[in-house]
Amino acid sequence: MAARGVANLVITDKRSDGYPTSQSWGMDWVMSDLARGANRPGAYQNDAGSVPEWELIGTRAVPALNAVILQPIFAAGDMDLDDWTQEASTYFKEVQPTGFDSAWLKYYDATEDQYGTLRSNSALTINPSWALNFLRAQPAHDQAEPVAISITVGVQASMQYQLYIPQRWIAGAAAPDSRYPSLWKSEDTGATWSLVDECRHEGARSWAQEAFDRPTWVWWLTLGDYLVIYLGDTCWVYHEAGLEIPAGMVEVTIEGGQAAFQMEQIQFTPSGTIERLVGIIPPEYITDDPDTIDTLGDVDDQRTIVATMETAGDTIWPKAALATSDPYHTPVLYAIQATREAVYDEGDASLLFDNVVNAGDKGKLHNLRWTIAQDWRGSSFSGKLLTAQGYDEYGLTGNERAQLSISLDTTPPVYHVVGTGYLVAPEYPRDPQLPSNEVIELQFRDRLSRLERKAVGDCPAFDGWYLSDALNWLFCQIGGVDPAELLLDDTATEYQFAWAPGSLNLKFDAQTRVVDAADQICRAAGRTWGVDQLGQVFTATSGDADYDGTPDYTLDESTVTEEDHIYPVHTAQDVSQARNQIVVLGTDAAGNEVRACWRMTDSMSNPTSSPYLGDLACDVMVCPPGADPYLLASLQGRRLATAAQHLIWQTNGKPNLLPGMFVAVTIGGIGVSPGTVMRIIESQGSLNEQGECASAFCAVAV
Amino acid sequence: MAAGNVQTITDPFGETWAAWTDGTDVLLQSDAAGSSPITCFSQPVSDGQIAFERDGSGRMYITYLDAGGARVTKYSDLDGDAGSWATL
Repeated sequence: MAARGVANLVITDKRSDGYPTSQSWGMDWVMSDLARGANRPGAYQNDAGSVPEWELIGTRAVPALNAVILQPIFAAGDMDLDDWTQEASTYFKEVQPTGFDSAWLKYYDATEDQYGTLRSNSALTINPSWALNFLRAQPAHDQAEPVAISITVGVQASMQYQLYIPQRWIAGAAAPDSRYPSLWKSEDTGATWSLVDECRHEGARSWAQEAFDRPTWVWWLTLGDYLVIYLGDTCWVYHEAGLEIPAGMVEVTIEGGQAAFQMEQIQFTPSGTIERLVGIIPPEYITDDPDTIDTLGDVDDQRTIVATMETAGDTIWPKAALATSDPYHTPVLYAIQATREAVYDEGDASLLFDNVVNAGDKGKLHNLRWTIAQDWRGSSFSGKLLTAQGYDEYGLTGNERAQLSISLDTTPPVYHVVGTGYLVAPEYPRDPQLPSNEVIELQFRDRLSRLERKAVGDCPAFDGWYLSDALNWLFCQIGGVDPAELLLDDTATEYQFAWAPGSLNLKFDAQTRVVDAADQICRAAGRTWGVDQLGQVFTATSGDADYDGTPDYTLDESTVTEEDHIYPVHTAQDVSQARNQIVVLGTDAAGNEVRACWRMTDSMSNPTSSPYLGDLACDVMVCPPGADPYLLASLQGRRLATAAQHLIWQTNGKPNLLPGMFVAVTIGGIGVSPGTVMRIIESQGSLNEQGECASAFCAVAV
Repeated sequence: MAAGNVQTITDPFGETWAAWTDGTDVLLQSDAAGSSPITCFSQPVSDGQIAFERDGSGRMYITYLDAGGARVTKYSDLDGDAGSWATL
């Protein structure tokens, strides 16, 4: 005997969620725009870094890092040998090279196999920036290797870095490739050194053959986690997470011939600005200028960046002021971001229809159906409404908010919400069996029906944002979801998107749909999102929850009635979801780039495997920063390989069972091994005109 | 005042060097402030004639005729420091 049920459909005003009286807005300016600026180290004495669209005063673009810093100051004063201690040689003296009006220090031993070292008597600061000019003599006619110069910073500290121009020679190792400058690092007070980077990018000069008899400028800028090294016309960027160069002496070693140098720690001008010269006229749908202007950059208590939005008439443009109270260190500006949050009217949740309230006199529902989709996207419900007063009684025209609840016919009724959505398009068919036009066919779709109609517009880039803030912007600021209806997983407030200088990977084109942007954001963070039966937008990590050992329902002999129809289906239905290879692009604990791969080769070749696909079905994912790519590949692989055994099960009304719940199967003879636990992935229900309530489920073995 | 011909040359680092013989020794002097003449080595000929050269590496060469009339070239890798001259 079929279960009997009752329904409650509540329809409220279209404005139930509120509506924006002023819309959100976001703009980004990335300092890579300045890459065209002249930035030769030799131009340090002026502000020639300005480019037509920006004005730089007291600041300088660093195109290789897509950044702006305070103007470096290199005084190029006289070198004094008394400020240095000669190590391993006494062949240093002061000279004044032709064309220079300051003294340099010259190592004057031209012997091929000799070297000399000078150690500074005073220390450089922590994370120093410095400049060095050097002039090398040519190799003697019988000399194979060019004169080399090396600069070691952090001397006498446990952590030291060394720039070697050109390559360093390691005793006992093969002859070095002497063409390129190299960067070395020691973590044991200089006892052992390891090569950490080479300047081999395209255009790098051969330092074995060039740059003799004319000075070469070297700038070493320590900017956050980056070393930006200028070598004449070549620029070289080295990145090391958590880079910290200790305060310490500096050593300059000249090896294999004569060379002279001058060197000084770089200081930075105390303050400067960068200002956009191209203004923007904000769109009409915002009522005021952006209310928040922020920056991506490297700052601390002493190194600050304050961004503002300048205004003249209807035009606005950004400006950033950089300042430092520490003359040896500069703030680093990578991007400016301006945002304005939307202002939402509270709306109007006036009740338009409630079939419980209206029962018996005005409204009667029948032929109700509901579906909760497998991925919690696009759930829907529908029904027919008989009205006593005619079409216009409730004024339904589409986009009204509604919620459908179902109860078995108990006293008192216990309602379960099976769908929350919006009226798609009411239809008014003429029913010849009714005396007047009193039937309205109603179809409702979940929140996607609204979200799919929204483009992101001027949306800020989410690089560097927390996942929770990014989703709040997309769903609430743009999508109109009440923040109370945004249910984020526990770690969404802790997950922060990475950002790389000069590039915005999470910047969406204005025409991007909110749904697509949310997909991309969630995928990047290893999440999924959906809309539950209450209309709440939720996020989840790593797909489905694990089975905790307690089923939500047990399909046993006592529950299987004559109304139950059980159809087990093996694989065929859902191979579209199955994968047999997952590759995760990421970085391992040692910092190596890895391609973590999970594979199930049997799935391609062995007909008895499960799932047997007979083909390669592969996904490639990008590992979120900080996650283990191997673990992620394994988890994702196992999850996607389990779509092998499905159970489709019709039964009398069970409106309380929802996707994600677990069903333990204890009966036999239905094609599913007794003891199998299955996860409901889709549910459907109906309540017909006679009040008979039925349900159907699709479940997959876990 | 030095005796004999004075040979001068400017090196890549901007120093101008003068080399000469006083009849007894070969001397060298830089134009850098405070520099004094350096006695490079004893010159066994008396006519005061020497040839002074440098190559791109900074190595210095001085050539003279010895008492037997043979051509002798000495060189230094150390900007003429005394005692560092070797026969080529």
